[in-house]
Amino acid sequence: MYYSNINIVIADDHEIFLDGLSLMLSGHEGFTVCGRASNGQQLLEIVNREKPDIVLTDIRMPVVDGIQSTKQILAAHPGIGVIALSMFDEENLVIEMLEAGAKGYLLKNAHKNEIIDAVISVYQNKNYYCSQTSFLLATMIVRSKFHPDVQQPPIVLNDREKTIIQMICQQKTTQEIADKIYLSKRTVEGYRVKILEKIQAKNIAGVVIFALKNNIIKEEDVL
Amino acid sequence: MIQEQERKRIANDLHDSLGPLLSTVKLYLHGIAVKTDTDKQSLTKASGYIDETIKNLREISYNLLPGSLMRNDLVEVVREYIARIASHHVLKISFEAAPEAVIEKKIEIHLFRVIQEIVHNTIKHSGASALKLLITWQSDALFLISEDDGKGFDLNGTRTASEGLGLKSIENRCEMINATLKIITAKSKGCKIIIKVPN
Repeated sequence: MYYSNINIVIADDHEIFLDGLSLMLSGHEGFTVCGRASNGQQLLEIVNREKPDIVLTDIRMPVVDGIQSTKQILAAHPGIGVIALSMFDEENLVIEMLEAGAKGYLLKNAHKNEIIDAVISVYQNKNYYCSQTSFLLATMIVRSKFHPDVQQPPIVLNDREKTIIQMICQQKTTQEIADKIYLSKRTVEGYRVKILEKIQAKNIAGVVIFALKNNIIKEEDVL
Repeated sequence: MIQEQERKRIANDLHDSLGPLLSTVKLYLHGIAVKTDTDKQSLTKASGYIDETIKNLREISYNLLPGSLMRNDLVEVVREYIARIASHHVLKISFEAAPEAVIEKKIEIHLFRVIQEIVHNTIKHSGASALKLLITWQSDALFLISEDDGKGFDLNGTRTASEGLGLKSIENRCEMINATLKIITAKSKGCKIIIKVPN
């Protein structure tokens, strides 16, 4: 998708990480880091001043935390896409961020390409779930008060597509799926691409969340 | 309790200082322009090792103190713990908790440690293929019950040093929360543990 410029404000109480992230994002063509904050209070001030497209924010921060900031940012500027940055072992906080209105989340050690991908997805108003999402987190997300964007028009999937989705959620490889349902590897690959496009998922995490939400798979199948 | 505070401190340090530092290293690594295939390979390897380090950090931190125990309740934390164990052990663990069970915050960490110990012992010593964990509640007490289908042991016989240690640890925890401990086991009859925590 063509975009001319995406303005980003980042927040993290770890200055070293903030430096590294800022450098990486600024180095990407079309991205501008227009503000950096080391706590939620600063974040709010900068966002009110700069009105960016995207906010990438740590969850645990002093003064005002990421969850409170997200709520306040979205109350004042509902169009801003907020992405949560999480360390490991913070599943509940990720859920709270999503429930507060964040459109997606990333683990801080995500690959730079994934960070870029997430920014672009959220800029396009799509949810983004980190590729390292555990099944447990996926289940917690589905059970929470967070509702992924409703697709317009509603998605229709045929039985074959549903079967393939189930197998994707079981982490079967394309070859394994092909063998199981007697199709060629290329055909299955085609299905995978089509399915991701249809449900607007960027990775398996997105597929799992969609499948759980729409009862194509059950929790017991993945936990 | 002092031990728990120590663990909490270490877990927080790991989480707050080492984690972000490693993530930052990775960001800088990927900012380096690499041209040759050999360099690209080195970069990929380096990045992979950082991920591995972070993963290990996470495990250590988690084993020290499950962060979510502070923010969420025991049942969720146990489910998560079991899911992690399932990903690298063959033992099939089932866990049920009565929804009406009320678990006081201050005993949650001890119950969790007991469950960890039971799971650890079962994997290490029992040769069991399945372990059932149950938390139920009656008006006068909370019950934690575990049952495995392993080889059991002679309650009155001698145990290996580590078996003894595991059980001692459970005994200590029970003492700390004024709980009674009952172990039902015999050779090749599996092992059932019943812990009663009075209200």
